[in-house]
Amino acid sequence: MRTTKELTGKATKFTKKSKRSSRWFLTPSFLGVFIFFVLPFFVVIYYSMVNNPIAHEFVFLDNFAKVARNGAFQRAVRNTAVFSAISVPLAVVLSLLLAVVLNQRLPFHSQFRTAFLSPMMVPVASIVLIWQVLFHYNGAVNDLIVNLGGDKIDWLKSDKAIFVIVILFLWKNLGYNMIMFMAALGNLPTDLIEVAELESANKWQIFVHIKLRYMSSTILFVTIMSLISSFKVFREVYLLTEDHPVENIYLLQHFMNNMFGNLDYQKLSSAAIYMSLAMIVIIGVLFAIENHFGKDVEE
Amino acid sequence: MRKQKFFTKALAMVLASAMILSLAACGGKDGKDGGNKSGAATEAEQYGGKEFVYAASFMDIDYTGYLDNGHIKDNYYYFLGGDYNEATQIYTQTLYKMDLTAGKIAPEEAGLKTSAGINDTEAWFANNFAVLSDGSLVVQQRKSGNNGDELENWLVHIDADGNEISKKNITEDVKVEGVDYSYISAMIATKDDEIVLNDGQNKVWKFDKEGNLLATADIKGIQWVQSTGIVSDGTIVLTGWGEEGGQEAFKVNFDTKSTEKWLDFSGDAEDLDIEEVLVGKNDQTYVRTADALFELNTETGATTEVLKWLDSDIASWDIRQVFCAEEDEFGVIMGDGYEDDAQYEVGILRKTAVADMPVKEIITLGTFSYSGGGSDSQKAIVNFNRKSDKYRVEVIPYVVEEGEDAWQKAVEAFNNDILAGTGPDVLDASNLNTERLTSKGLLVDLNEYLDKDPDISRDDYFKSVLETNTSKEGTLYCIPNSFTVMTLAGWKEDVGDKQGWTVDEAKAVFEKNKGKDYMYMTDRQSALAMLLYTNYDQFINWQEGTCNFNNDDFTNLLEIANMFPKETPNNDEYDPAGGIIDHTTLIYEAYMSSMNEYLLTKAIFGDDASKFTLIGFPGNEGNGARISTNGGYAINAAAKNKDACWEFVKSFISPDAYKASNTWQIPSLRSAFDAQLEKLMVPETYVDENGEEQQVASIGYGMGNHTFEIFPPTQEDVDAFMDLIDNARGSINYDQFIYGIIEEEAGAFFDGGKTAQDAAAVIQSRIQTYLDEND
Repeated sequence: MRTTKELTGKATKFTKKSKRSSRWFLTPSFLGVFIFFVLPFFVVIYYSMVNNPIAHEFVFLDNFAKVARNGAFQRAVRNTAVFSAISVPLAVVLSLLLAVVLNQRLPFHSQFRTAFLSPMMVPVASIVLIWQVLFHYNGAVNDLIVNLGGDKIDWLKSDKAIFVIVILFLWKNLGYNMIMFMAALGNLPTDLIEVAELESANKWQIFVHIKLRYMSSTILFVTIMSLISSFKVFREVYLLTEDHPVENIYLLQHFMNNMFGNLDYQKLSSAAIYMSLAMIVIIGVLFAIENHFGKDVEE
Repeated sequence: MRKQKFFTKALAMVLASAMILSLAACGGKDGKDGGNKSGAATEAEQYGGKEFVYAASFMDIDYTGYLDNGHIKDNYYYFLGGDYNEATQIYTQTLYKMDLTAGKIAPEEAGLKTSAGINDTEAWFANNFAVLSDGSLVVQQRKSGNNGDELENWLVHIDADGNEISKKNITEDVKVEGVDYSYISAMIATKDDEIVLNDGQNKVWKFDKEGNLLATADIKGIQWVQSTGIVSDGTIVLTGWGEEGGQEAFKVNFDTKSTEKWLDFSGDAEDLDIEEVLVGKNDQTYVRTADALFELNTETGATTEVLKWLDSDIASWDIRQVFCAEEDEFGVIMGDGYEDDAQYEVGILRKTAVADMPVKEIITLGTFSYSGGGSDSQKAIVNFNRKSDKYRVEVIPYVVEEGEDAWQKAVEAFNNDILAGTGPDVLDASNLNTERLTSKGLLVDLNEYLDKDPDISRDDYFKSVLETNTSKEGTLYCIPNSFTVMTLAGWKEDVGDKQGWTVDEAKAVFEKNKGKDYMYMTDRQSALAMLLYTNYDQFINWQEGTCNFNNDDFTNLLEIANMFPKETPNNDEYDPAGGIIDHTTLIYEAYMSSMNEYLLTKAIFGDDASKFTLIGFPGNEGNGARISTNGGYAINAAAKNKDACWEFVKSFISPDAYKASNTWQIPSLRSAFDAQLEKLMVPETYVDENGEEQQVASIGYGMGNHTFEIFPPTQEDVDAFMDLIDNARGSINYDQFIYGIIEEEAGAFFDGGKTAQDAAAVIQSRIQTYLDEND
């Protein structure tokens, strides 16, 4: 019979060998990520530090200073921040609410769930077409307003445009977030909830102190995904309003897309780095919050 | 453990950021690489890396006058020359032949001579001819009687000495149903000395040399015959634009009395316009296009490029005839114009290894056309290449395919090449967004070259022309060869007598004249384009990157444009003058690219300068006239030898270039314009039947039912036109993004959905964003 030492030694050797061979299997994926994500990242940094692609003169942070002073960039940052600040919390809170409601097993809850999920399946161009029909100056919404005695509103070319985009964003993304929350609600430890109920905790206390705590990682995930989706809303905004929309829906990606079209790769790269730094900070903060609230859950 | 967790999270954040960065610029633009790489080529890369080229040697033809419509037979070139005597008002045609093997090439008369006077009741005019195997000729003549009416077609057979052998009236033979008179557009002789004629779109006829009709065939499948030829097996071939679009080749079948599809061209010449079909010494078949000569496989239709005209230093615009001299040897008859002072030459092209050609430094020229551009551009390239011992210009065409997207792909490929540092050394500026390229430092500032050049100076050129091609940063990126003056004109009683008006004044005039047609065939969007194209720099401060569309001037412009009709009716006839003459149209839009077009404007207003005003486009300053420039070359900031590039650019705008040019467009060089005016002001007269001296018109223009004869300008006319040019402002570069935004928002106002002020507010917001981006 073999000793523990012999068995552990063999296991260690086996583990080491399998770790080495697994690294080989990971190499193609790692190479792909390196070539298509990491390397371009460094190319972007390089472009942000030269004056133009012909002369390649190193100008250090001059491009960053120029971009920071640029009025269009400032406007884009402000609008993107405002849009994200409005739409992301709304997307998280409303989808959590929906998940909680649909988790109650109301009648037709699965049909409601399908209805909320279906916007994800609709192609972007079709969504934009519907929105144009609804919110055009001579569209259905203005018709309704006029019939109710009000004046027409230029939804897409006035300061009201931000509301249209927020509604569009929520309509498209609530379903996915709701599903994530419903899955998280389904995985909550029922024994803890039962104990809490026995200890006379009310529903609100159970929700805040147990359910939310246990769902903190899901909330973090949904928030990050909503934040990323809030950047992707550029696609719909671009199809609705093209390169240069009105001021309040001019987003960071409009700026970067137009810089690409103008062949101004320096401004584009600098703006992209600003954006990624901001994302790192935001996600770092979110991680820290999740760590604080969810650490006892993990332990 | 905690450290590991931290590093894991940090790595995750970096990767997430990298993924987010990939979202940058993910919409809208799809930059495709057109694949036309260039750059100053090395010696080994001359002529696009080819192994052989056709090197040309040139001989002048000792002849001035009209030369066209020729045929090659053995070593002789036969052509019809013409000459008009102003004094006697007699037009004389002479058939010439030239021995192409002679040391000095000079035409000699080949026997046929016709003359027709303006007062003759009967006149003969030679249209076409063919040379037979025995050296005799058959000439297709048009006989007109009774002062230009009663037209007849004749075939006249003359011997090698010019003596008439036979003559036959073929008018009835070539009659086409529904056509009063059949104009014969092409004529060739077969190997059996049969004569084949066609009228370009209806029928083909075959006659013997005595003029007896042998056969006919209907032309089917071609809208218009571009070339008629005979291939080595005797097949008569017609090429032209097919009825379903695209270049087609048909053969004539006299047995079925119809044309039939011959070949579908494939390979290098696919979809190109065929200008000539010719047979080689060893019965090969060649086809000529605007850019090149191709060998045609008559079994399969496959075409293979033999030579490019520009590689042989030949401007294809000047080619009159190509012939096969020997094996691997071609001849080209060329003329640089059709006026009395045109210069002619013969080029002999011999197949030569590139390794045996003189080695020159290559300057690449990027253009958006296949053949190096228009006549003047080609001449500039060819003349430069012939004269320069050190440099050679090679054309890189960026439009290399057909289709709707071809132009967009060419522009994208061009931009990619410029950024990658592989763009051409010299750029055809006519289709570039020069403002954008200049702001990125991608174009050379020509100011320094202009200021230090020993041969030309800044003061030699019109100031407004240089201004038009100077960016807002002060970079002179191009000096064009010629320019156009644009302005608006109206009757004095309608628009007043001073040049230039403000927007408010313009609006008041338009409101006062409601009910009139404001401008010929101009709807709202066209009116807005016209008003903005010349004015939107008033609303934009490029230096500060600000705009001000939220003001009365701009809203007034929108309201003026809104006064125009939503749509204009389709007019079959182009007649912008009619409404001016009968005072039902308020404004005439004058585009003057020559002195004669200024005189045309004056002629439309009754030829009396005191009765009309060149009021100009509404604006805050100046006489309202604008300069628009044509073409020109810019130099890539990445070009290796900028001095060499300047030598080429200069050759396009130098005094010698204008001397060699036949254009009547307004030259950017003042002295060239002065020389042009001096020539134009010389009056030509004739004595009429009453013995009185009458002036001859320089040129005539037709608009609808109106014909305007333009006579040489007076000094007063010249002074007025020069004053207009000197006080005109340079046009700014047309920014398509800005105009696109204005057009889109103005549309909502024109449709009644918004007020002008609301539209202006949105325009202000969007354009300010655009300007901020480009700050």
